[in-house]
Formats: sequence, structure tokens, C-alpha cells
Amino acid sequence: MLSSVLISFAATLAVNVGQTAPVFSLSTYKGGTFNLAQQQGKVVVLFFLGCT
Amino acid sequence: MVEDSIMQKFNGGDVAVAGIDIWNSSDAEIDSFITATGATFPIAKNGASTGNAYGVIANSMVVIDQNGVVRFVQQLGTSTVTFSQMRQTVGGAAATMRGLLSSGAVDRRISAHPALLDPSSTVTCQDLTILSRFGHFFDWKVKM
Repeated sequence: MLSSVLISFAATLAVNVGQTAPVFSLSTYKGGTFNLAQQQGKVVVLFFLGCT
Repeated sequence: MVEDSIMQKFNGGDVAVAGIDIWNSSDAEIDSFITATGATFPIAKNGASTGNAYGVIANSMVVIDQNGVVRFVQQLGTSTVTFSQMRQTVGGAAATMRGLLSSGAVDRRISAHPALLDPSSTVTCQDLTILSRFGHFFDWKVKM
């Protein structure tokens, strides 16, 4: 029950198709940086995950 | 065909794939994840705020086109997606993969999951999660 509430809440806030993707720049594991703004011209697939 | 138009757009394999850890895991936890899944894509660390900006939970996928516009959002584990739906999006990941696959631009082992080759098939998000967990869905071997 709680989880379904959380999921619907998250789904409501998710970015919409057609919207400009929020830019970000993050350090990557084992060095380097992933800067979305530098990916212009490429199709970008982002996989949001949690490492446990 | 949709695949043809996608292939023309993506000719040259200009696809970037990245994981974003939205749980701000430690290096040791990320290392364990990579070991467990065989993931080869770069994993961006400390992505909790980025996850919030995109409004997504863990095990979600977002595809962004060449101009920085969101073209596909999948909150894995919350709904069912059909590949025919995904093929309708220019940046749909499955469509991209299918197109690249047919062109020989990606590693053939992606074809291990039969659902990816059947455009009429319906896969559950659980299937997609399994695929991504094992790196097959995202482990594109694009020939540059």
C-alpha cells in the first residue's frame, strides 16, 4: 500500500516526453564525468539505478 | 519503416548509455553492482538529486534525443510496455537497439532475449528489469 502510493507519487513527478531533459554533470565510478550537456548530438539512454 | 528512419538518425552509432546511481551508494556498493550485473556502461555517482530532477525511481529508464529532449520515460516495475509503443518513439531504446541489431552494429548477444526481436510482443517491466540487471539491455556494443 505504502509502496504503491510512493510509486504513483513518483510517476506524477516524472519528466514528460517532449520536455527538455534536465541537465546534470556527475562524477562516474572509477573516474571521469558524465555531463549531459556534452552529449548534444547523441541519443542518450539513462538507466536510473540503486546499487546495493 | 520506423527502424529505417531510426537507423538513418542513428547512423554511426551515436548513442551514449549511462547508469545513474540515485541512492548515492558507496564505491564498494557500486563495485558489487557491477560484479553482480556485468554492467559495462559508466555509472554516475551521487545521482540522488538528478533522480529527483527527473522524478524517477530506481530501475527507470529515460531516453533523450540528439537535441536534449526527453523521448521515452519508463518507470520500470510500475507498468507494462509494448515494443510497438517503444518503436513509436524516435529514441525508444528498444527501437534503437533493434535497428542497430539489424544493421549489425551491435553485439549479437543482445538478441538472447526473444521478446526484443518480436515487435508485437508485450514484455512486463519485470522482464525489462531482468534484462537491465544483467546488462543485456544496455550493454550495447556499438561499432564506432
